[in-house]
Amino acid sequence: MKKSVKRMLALLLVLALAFSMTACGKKEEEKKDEEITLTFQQWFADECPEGLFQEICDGFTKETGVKIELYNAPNAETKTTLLSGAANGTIADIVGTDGKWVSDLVDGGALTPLDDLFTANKVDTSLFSDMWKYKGKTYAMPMVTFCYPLAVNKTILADCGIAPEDIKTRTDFLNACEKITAKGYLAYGWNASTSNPAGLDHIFLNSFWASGGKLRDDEGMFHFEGNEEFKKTLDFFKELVSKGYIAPGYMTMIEPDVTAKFGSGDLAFCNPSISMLSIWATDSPDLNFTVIPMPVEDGYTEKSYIDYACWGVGISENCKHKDEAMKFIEYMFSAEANAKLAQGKGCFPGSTVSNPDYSQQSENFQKAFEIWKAGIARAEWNAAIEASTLRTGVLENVLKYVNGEVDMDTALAGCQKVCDDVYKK
Amino acid sequence: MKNNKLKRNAMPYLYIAPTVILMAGLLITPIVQVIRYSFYDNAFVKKNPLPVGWLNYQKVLTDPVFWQSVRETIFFVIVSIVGHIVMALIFAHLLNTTMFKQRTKTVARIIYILPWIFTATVISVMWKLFFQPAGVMNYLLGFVGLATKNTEWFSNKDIALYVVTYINLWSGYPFYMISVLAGLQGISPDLYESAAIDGATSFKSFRFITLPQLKPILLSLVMLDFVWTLKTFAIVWTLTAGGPMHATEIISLYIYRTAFMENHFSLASAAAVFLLIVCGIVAVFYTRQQFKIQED
Repeated sequence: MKKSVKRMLALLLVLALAFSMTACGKKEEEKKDEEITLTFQQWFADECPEGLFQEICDGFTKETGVKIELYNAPNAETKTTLLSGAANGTIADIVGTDGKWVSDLVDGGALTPLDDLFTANKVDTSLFSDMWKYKGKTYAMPMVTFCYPLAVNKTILADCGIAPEDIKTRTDFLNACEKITAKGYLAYGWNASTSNPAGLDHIFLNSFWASGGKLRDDEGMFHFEGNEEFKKTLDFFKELVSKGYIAPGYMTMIEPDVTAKFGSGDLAFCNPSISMLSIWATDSPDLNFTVIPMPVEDGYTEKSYIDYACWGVGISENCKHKDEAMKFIEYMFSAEANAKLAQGKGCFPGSTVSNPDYSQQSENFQKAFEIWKAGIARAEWNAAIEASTLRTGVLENVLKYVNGEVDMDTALAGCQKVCDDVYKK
Repeated sequence: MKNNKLKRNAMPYLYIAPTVILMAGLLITPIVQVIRYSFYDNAFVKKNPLPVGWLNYQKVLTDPVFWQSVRETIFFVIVSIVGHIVMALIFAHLLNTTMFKQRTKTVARIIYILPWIFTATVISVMWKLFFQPAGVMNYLLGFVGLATKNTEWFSNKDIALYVVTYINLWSGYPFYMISVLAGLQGISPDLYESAAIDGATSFKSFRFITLPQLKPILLSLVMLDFVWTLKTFAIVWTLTAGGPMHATEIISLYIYRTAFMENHFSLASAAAVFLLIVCGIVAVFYTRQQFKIQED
């Protein structure tokens, strides 16, 4: 080969190399500049004041350049949407979840474990007020929470000569109910429909937890048989039912039925979500009510555990930008973003550093916040396996006992069997 | 030449192609999917569900709530069909009679048809208010001492199914009434005149003229009502959601609860396959009945 040809070839080779390296560099640059958009499937945006949730998400975009696209669906549809999305690969990057859905979502391949992402992104996990673990791994955290204090109609109570602050124990409560029903009022609303077992958590177990009750051991197993506090709560509710202190129709009532009755001034007591407090303030201006802590078992002096519902957040297994998604979650738990959400929606923060200003909220809301701060959050269905099946099964057995269809041992064995059947699968 | 023949032969298939594609996409595919799901371990919510053979069918058949649901469905369907047909015959006769003026009949027709115009949600809200403990029903019955303001209708599991069935009867009868009325108007008056001349009573005219003449319509209505009532969901769901304690959980609600409340889609699919088989059998009878009518 001639020398000049060799030179030419060498030159071509160098040029080719240089070109390919430039191309690589360009690709890297392109990758860097590539716009990341994270999709977020949730029901929060629709339940917040218009534009609030998007505004909070836009704050993250401003900080990082990562766009957040919200997929909104009602709460009732979100779980099925997430499960089907996980099965067919169309699930969003970040997902809103209830604590009770976690195990189903993990088993359905919808959620990714977060522990390694916490480490890789140096996330301070003390930010989170709670972390939902399933089979030893963390999958989601509650972003904001809603508690269910006891709402009291002050007009009815005044007519019966009862001061709300005097109702501290179950005996006080029973005595108050006796006076209220004797005057012809409806006493306590219980949405015990098994189609939506929220009435098990927010009313029956709310009372159970308030007196220090505990359903699960350290391994997460449920215990009903031999659970003394559970027995006492069953008897308490049996007495409420047998004496006619529970408003009629409770077997098919759902939460809105009860809150509507209370809102129209027909009920003396109910357990509303704190989000109802502002709704009543505007929709039922004549309703004279207050909130108090759940009455506890006579003689119980420890701190009360408080039932809560929440808006949780996790990252989907399908997410291609898990680090960015983790940064977004960290942002949502930052003092500013979390407080803005809690203030705007009227709920309590899920972040330990968030300090919302509730001065604009109603007096009742502020009282509810005091009750919340004085207690300890407890919601034992979070991350339980097939929580929906368990809750429905337990509620059915509770109802059988309080309606006098079965004895205590049969009811407890029934509750135990429901949980054992699911956990032994 | 050959091309033209091919085109001519293909033409009918091309005409029906859109319908066939739509049917395949919207009807057959979901049915096949549901049948397929019923043989898998929680399909739809698992990424890689495993085939489990007949296990889901076994689980459904050994579930006492399923059998409770079947019993309630049988009661709900039979009472609804009998009630609809009886109500349809009575009201259609009232509208067809010559005893009232046309204007009266027009007003009556509008009133009778009202329940059919309302949506399931409106019907539910209305009857819920009517039957709630502090509602109109208890107020009225209170005058004769049959109820108090604490009497429960939907929450009492001994009577909830009767109340729900009654509401279903009320909301569904107008369609059957209109169909029977159309049938009655198609019966030749000559038949009744001849029967009257022969001394037939009203009951005999009804027994030997009206009923045989209406038979094809009534049979079709019974079969349609069977399938429609079997699939009833919205009214019962909005009234009681299947409660209290499954007392009104007819099969469609059982399937919904299993699938969407408990996320056991494969079990729900197995239960849905039973429903599909029953509806399929009735559909075959209905089609044969329609052919017979056409042949006659």
